[in-house]
Amino acid sequence: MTRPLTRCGQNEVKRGMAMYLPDFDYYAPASLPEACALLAQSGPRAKVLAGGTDVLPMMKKEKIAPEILVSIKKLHQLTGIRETPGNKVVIGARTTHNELVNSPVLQKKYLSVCVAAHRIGNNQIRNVGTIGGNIVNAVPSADLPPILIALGALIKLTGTGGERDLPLEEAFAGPGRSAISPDEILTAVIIPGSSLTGSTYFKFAHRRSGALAVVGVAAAVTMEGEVCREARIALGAAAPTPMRAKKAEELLRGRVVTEELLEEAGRCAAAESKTRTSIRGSADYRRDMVRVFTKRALRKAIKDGHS
Amino acid sequence: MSYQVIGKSVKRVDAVAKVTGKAKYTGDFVEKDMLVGKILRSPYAHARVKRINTEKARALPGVEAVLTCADVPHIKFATAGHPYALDPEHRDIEDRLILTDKARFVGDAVAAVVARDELTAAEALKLIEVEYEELPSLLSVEAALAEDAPAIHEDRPDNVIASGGYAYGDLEKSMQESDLIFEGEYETGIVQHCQLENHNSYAYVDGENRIVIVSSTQIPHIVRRVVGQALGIPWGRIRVIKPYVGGGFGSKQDVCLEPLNAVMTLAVGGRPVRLELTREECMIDTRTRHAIKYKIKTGVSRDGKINAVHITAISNNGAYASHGHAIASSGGAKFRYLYTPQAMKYEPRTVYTNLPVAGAMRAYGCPQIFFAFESHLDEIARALNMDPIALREKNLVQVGHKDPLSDTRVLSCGIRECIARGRELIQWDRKKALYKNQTGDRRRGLGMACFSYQSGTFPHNLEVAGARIVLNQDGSVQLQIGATEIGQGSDTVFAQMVAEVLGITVDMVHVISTQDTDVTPFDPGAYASRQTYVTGMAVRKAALEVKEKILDFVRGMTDIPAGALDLREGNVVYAHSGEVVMPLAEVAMQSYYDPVFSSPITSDVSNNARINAMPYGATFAEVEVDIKTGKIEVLELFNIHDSGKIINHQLAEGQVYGGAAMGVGYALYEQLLFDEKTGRPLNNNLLDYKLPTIMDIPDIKAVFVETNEPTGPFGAKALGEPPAITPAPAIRNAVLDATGVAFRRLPLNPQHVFEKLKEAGLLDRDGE
Repeated sequence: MTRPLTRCGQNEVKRGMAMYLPDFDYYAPASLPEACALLAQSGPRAKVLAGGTDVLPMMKKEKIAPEILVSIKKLHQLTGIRETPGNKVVIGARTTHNELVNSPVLQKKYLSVCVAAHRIGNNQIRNVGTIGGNIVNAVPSADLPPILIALGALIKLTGTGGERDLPLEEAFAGPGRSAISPDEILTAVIIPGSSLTGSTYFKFAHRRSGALAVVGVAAAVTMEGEVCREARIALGAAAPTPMRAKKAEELLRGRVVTEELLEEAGRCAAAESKTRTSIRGSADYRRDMVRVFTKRALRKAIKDGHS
Repeated sequence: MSYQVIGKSVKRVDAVAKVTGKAKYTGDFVEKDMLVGKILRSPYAHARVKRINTEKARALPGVEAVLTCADVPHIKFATAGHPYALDPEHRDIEDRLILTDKARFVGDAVAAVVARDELTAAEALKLIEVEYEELPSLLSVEAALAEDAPAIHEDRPDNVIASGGYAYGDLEKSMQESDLIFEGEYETGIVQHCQLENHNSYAYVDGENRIVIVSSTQIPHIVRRVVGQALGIPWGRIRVIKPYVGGGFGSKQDVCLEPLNAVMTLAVGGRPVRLELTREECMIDTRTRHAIKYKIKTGVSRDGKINAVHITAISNNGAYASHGHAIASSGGAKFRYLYTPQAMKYEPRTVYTNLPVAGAMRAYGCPQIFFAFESHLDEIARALNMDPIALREKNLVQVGHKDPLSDTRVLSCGIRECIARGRELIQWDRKKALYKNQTGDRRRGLGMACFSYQSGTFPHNLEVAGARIVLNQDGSVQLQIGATEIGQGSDTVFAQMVAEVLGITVDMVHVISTQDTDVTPFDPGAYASRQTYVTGMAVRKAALEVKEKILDFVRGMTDIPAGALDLREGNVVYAHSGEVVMPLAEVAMQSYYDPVFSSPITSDVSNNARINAMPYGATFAEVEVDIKTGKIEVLELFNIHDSGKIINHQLAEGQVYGGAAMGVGYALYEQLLFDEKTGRPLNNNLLDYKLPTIMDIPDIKAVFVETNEPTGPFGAKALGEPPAITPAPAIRNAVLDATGVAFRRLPLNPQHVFEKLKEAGLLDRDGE
């Protein structure tokens, strides 16, 4: 077995303490198979470390206590954003939020992803946090899953048993729980080619920077004149996991878009949502905001393209 | 009057030190083998400590001391940063122990450890076993005032700290004679200072067996006294040193750490011990701003003349008195200088609850009372169909006004000009007309609010200040003050004053920024926006004395009568012509080294400012309300201030930007939240407590209407705290203008606004 690079953490105190990292073994495998093998071997004792903006604070707060951190910083195939034949956009899992924001490919094709990435955390967070982390941590209020789900994204997973693609919307099991097996590493996010004509993400939060979404609403549409041929609506902070508002989508398909229809879609999405009360907002208020922002997101995606 | 240095935006005297990181703060000082102290806090809001077992903690390697209530002096002391009152009736309430045997809020300090490092200290805390007997917690003023409520402090069985207010005129008669009576209830939330530098200190015992405490404090001389009182030792045995401070806003106008830090070092044989709070600790166990509930009844004539005002207030003080009733009472007193009803009655009550301790915070009770009253006034204006400005103008104070309850007189007042400037800058009349009859999802509105304040605490408290100047050999001077620079820029302002009087440039004034109670002259410290005004008087007096001595020395050298001489541009000159007699540096050299007349020139003065002056101002705000979400956007914000003569415009603008931003946070974002059942804090961290970021703050415009205050040094009045007073009511009034809905509770966060708009019928039952 690979030897840990270093024994990290400042202490031998097993339970750790507020704002100090408990002890852990740190690995930085040089290849993907090696990383997967390490994860398979260690089971739930291990956690993948990318940007660390979520894992490390959770360890400091004693919410998780992995004994092993497997850094993926040497896995260079996990970087980069490229267009591939079939009009796909492949985004390496280690791509930081600011790399998303500044990507010419995304700015041209899916500005909505750049906009969503720009609303994450603050600039410091965006410089280190990654798209992969934003997905696998399965935080209900995460900003990237809604827009990526609306765009029909898939995630590429590699484990000891091989590689598989999974629709992003199936990647979540509950708050903080992903449907990815412990030995799998998320390597890339794939936005498939599609005929979508517009997409957008609205984050409603208590301040412009450094805030979690009260609700986040993404919408993607295919318009043909006044007729909505396809609609995809994905909600953040509206249920235990990021979710599609499928009834609202169904309502829109094949219909001539009117203000009333969009309002109806908003009401429908609100009814589908499973909001809960937290210090950021009551369940009722969040449901109201799902309604308001579903309408606004649809209107913007219809009017302004990928924006 | 024309000045050379006063009124100029000279560079901060500490700018280079701070930008290069050379300025040393408490945490930058390192003592050899410094130990670390940590505090064990109660998880219960109200509980008696029945038993504490410290055996396991003491046994942990690296633990040097474990302290409980039984191990520290059992002397109740007051923590508030007020000058000591010789009159026992006027003293702050002594209700605090260094470590308590009865927890009165979640976070109350019940034990402490000293260990070789922070990790060991934290681990030791976990090994302390405490058995609590839980008591019913009183988490609201209503619960605390209920008849069967248990006493939080045994000597205050009704949980009321104090209830002194004031009254003048015949309230009943004036109400009866009024055409209309208006009533309203208003409520503010609990917020926290969130200064950059968390509370921290370290302490050791020196070779003379004296306790030395280095602390991030606004009030070093008061800390010395309070530590002496809390430990029951002579005050002279304590030495407090205050280096650069990273902000306080009143949370460091209180003695939070130092008595415990002192007993910690005593417990380990005088070895140095550092005590530093985390942000999470800082937000619950330093101080907060009082939440206050007001009931206001106002009698008004049909033309808008305010005849009678009756205000009752209940102030939530939390678990210990700290500044106690002084905040509710001071807010009411400062408020008295803005409008002039024939009769007024102010009845505040300050109440203990099992929540974190409320204390001093920027503008000391004024953001609360002005939110209430300025909101109330706009409701009256709407009912009378009057412009809110016209209603205020009808009732504003005049120069020469004598306070009906004290000898204080208003000798300068620029409030009318402030309002006129605001009206013009925000284009009040044009936009007011434009925003009538809006429908739509997004509606705009304009609002304004006025304030009066004071410069220091006279006549309520002593306002003494000390300053000391030494003329150096090169013609530069050293300036020492007891007043504290905590980021507000007072050192620079004092340097300007000295430079002005002595006719030298600011870089020839070396300000000793550190206060050390062994060395610096006495001054209670930074609070009440007092330093420019009160300490400024002492600095000016010290500079004038040095000037007199210089000119007298020159007379000795030249036989030119001192009255014919002046100091300008680093020279001694003939006053009438400006003709240079000799460079100041030459006088300085002679004063040091003349074989016969050597007598280095110094001054060491104290000034007891038995006077006060009222600064005024107004905020004008334009907002856009998203009716469908309740989100309020502040589009424009003007803060217009009459703080007398502005000594340094750039620094003054900085005060206004910071204060107004704090006011925006108070209006729209900030609130400390607690679990309704347990009293546990829900958001004592900077992720969940929504302090607005710079991206959320509008482009604040700072405007000054400069009056000349005859009592102030160089015509100056207070400025530090006032910018935070009126943004909240101005924004609230703008929301009223935009929506027609009168909000009466802070903060106006989106959910609160949405729910209220829905209630008011702006949205249908489904929220549309």
